[in-house]
Amino acid sequence: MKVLKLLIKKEIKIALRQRLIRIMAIIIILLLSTALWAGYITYKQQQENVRLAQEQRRSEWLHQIDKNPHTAAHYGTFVFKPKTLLSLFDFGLDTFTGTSKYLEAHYQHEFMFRPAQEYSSTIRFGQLSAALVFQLLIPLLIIFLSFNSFTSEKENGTLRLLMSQHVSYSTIATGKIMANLLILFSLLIPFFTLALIFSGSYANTDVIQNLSFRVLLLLALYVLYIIIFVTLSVWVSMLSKTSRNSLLVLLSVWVLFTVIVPKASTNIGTQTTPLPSLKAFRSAIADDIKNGLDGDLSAPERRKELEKTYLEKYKKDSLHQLPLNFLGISLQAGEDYAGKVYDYHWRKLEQTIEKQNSISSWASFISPYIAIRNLSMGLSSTDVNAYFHFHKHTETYRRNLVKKMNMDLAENSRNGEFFEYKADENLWKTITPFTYTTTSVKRVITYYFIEIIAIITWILLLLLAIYSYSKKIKPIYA
Amino acid sequence: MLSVFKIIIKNEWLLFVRNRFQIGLLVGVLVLGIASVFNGILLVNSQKETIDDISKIESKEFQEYEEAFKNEVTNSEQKRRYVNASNPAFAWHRHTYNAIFSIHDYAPLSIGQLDLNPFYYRLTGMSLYYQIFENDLANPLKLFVGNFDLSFVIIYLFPLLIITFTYSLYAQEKEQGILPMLKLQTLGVDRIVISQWAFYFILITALALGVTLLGLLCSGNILKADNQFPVFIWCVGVLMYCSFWFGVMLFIIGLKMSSAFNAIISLGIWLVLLIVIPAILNILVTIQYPIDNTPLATISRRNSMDNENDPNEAHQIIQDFFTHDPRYYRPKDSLSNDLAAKAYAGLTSLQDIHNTSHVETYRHQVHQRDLWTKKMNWISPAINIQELFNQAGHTDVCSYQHFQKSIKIFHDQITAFYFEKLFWDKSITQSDYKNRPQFQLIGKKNLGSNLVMDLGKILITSVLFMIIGWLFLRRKHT
Repeated sequence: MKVLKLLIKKEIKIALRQRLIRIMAIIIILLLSTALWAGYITYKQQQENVRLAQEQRRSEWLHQIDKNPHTAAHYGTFVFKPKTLLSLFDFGLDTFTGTSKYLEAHYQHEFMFRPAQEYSSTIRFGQLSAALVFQLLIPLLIIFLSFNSFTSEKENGTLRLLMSQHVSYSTIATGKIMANLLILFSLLIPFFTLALIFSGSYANTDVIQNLSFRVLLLLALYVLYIIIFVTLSVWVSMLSKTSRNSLLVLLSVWVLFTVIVPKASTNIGTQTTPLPSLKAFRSAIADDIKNGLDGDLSAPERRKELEKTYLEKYKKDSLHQLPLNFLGISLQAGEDYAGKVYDYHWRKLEQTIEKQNSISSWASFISPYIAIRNLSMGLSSTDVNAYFHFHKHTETYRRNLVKKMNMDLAENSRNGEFFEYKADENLWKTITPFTYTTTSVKRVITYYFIEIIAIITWILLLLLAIYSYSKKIKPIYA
Repeated sequence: MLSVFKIIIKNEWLLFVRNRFQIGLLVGVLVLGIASVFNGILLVNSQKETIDDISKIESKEFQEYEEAFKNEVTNSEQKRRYVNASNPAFAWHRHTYNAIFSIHDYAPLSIGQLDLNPFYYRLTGMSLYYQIFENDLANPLKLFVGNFDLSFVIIYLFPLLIITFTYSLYAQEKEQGILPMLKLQTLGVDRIVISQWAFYFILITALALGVTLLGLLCSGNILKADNQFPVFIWCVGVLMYCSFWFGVMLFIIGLKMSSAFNAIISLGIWLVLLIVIPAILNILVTIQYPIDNTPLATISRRNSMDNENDPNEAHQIIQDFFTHDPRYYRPKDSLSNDLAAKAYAGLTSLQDIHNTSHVETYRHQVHQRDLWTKKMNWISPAINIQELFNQAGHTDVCSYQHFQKSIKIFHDQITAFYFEKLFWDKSITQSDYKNRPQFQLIGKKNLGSNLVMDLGKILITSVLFMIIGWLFLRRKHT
């Protein structure tokens, strides 16, 4: 134990003496601070814009003039995707998913305004965020710290000297790993401690659930990421004959992990399972509504069936004798069926995207960066599942709004009436304001099972590799 | 002297062909280059399929309208078709026109913003802003990761190849103890190193140009008038970009440090130019030019009349419309035919008239961001060259903005075509269809002096680095 402590102390001293490491650490801290500052400004701007816009749309809805409820359902409202507090840490896909959506009767509109559309081509190079610093730059710092951890001892002949002092190879390896981890944790822990304190003060105001718990999970995630890169770098240094070889291998691995594999796997996924165009997607929905989904009745048949059901229910001969406006019933039945068809096609679309992204998830076994990136976005609620969740939530809200309007028309007017019947503010008020809370952490974890297994596998394999190599090298006894 | 150079080059060639790692790297990048070309072509082909599909739909629909005039109206279906084709009260909001972004032959080589923005719109005479803000379906993760196209291979991977092949020139001779022997040669170490550097310059630049030429040949006809300037931009751009990286490497080699130092510094520069600077620029432009798109969302609302059957409301809307657009003015008493249709036409047009300034402001803000980023692109040749490739393939923000402007003009032509008939109570005749609006991309950008200036920027930096590198190499040995 004493030897281990001495080894750790020595490694830390050597690392801190290196100018390059000191410069790199300063650059990383500066970039991290800039990223957080900029992230906070963007978060505040966006949060304020969304809050104001949502309030204005709510006011518009409540203060619309008296009109037919179905016309009001077409007037509809707008919802805006709120930014989560953790998005200031990890922007994730927020720049590439739309920010607002129009909710009206009959139509499921797509999201509008992807923020990336408001930038020049530079946006495709990525945005500076704390997550980018942790995911791309910290591994480089680790490589620069550890690439010569064993090779320099070999080159200087100090490794044999150490081993002749009854120090086992595994103790030396443990010492080097621990020293590097301590240096990196000294960067990581204060950052996450501040984040934890900060998140505590926002816990009740943000749209994100279990904020502090998510911060802790993010901390654990990045600790594991650091462990992977430190053990990998030390292992490569163990195997390499020269520092030059070790550095070259590690830098190639970094490029492979962070640039080539993520890009290639995502592109393979999208090419092998292509998405339909919006036009094809909409046409399929329109066809299924018209002709019926999987053996269902066609639209005119469904209407006839509905008429029959209502006439039988009220024991009447014609629609005009019904104690309600059949138009409202018919509109709502159409809405319900369209909803069923839309859900079917949307689920297919989700499955296609999930299939596309699963290639990237499995690529986590080749590149741990992908696993960390996906989990980090997931925990920050800026991933593709957060987008699906928000979409589902908006659709539920739209359906409730339209249903209330149609049913009001059905229940409070007579058959044949449309413009003659007008609802007022009392009806508009029954629609609750749009609120949104992200999905739970438990759910996020279930989405990223492959990534979690990949991270565990990486750590176990690397530790095993270091252990088995260390066992082969016997200490030199005097 | 020449024979000595020949010997050096021959020697480098022998060393190169014996080095399996280097050959593997070159072959790997070549394979990735070819794959990127075909990946880009596949993506663009799927967009072209959608374009073919919607073009066929439009042709079929208008063919049916024209045929409705030829057939004698004998049943209700034929009557419905005839009314749809001839009555402007229906046609103005039912006839759908395609506005298609003309995809350039070389778009597959640099996808740019092509997958981010809609590349086609299906327009009717209804409110333009109701129809153009929705996004096409896309996997946000794919948009975030970006495309695996030729520009990615050239911009990201070739610099890494250049670094791998050249970082140890001079340093390796020093580390292997060959330097004192080289110093004994009459030629001078600097010239030997320059010869080695020139060998790799020719080898890697030829490979880059070869892959580029393959891409250009596979994606389009290089002799076509429209393609000649983009071919020039691509070829000279690749040459300049490779020269820049070779210049940087000559500068680093000229510092005469260890190979490990060279590797770290060169990868550091790669990281700064390709990841850190673009990421910082993106965040700075967000803060410098904040854009709030939330007010714009509401203008896509489907507005309707409070009571379609109320002639007073209809007349009020129409009079308001005439005030803003007197081209269609008719006295009040001659508007009674299809009054509701006229009122709706006026209503949606008024909506567009009132909202045009908001949309223009938004587009101006996006343009400002683009201009600012372009001004800053001298900081990183990677951003500069990406922008050049995007402009060559018309996949940049500017091309998209031209598309948007063209859509506005096209929509005006559509409304003019129908409104003239609608407000003047004229039917649409078969011969009118010969003069129906056709979409044309107006104000096509003039690729010219700006692009050459951007290339010039890279050339100047490259030459500067090369001269300094050469001087550094010479300085310590003369």
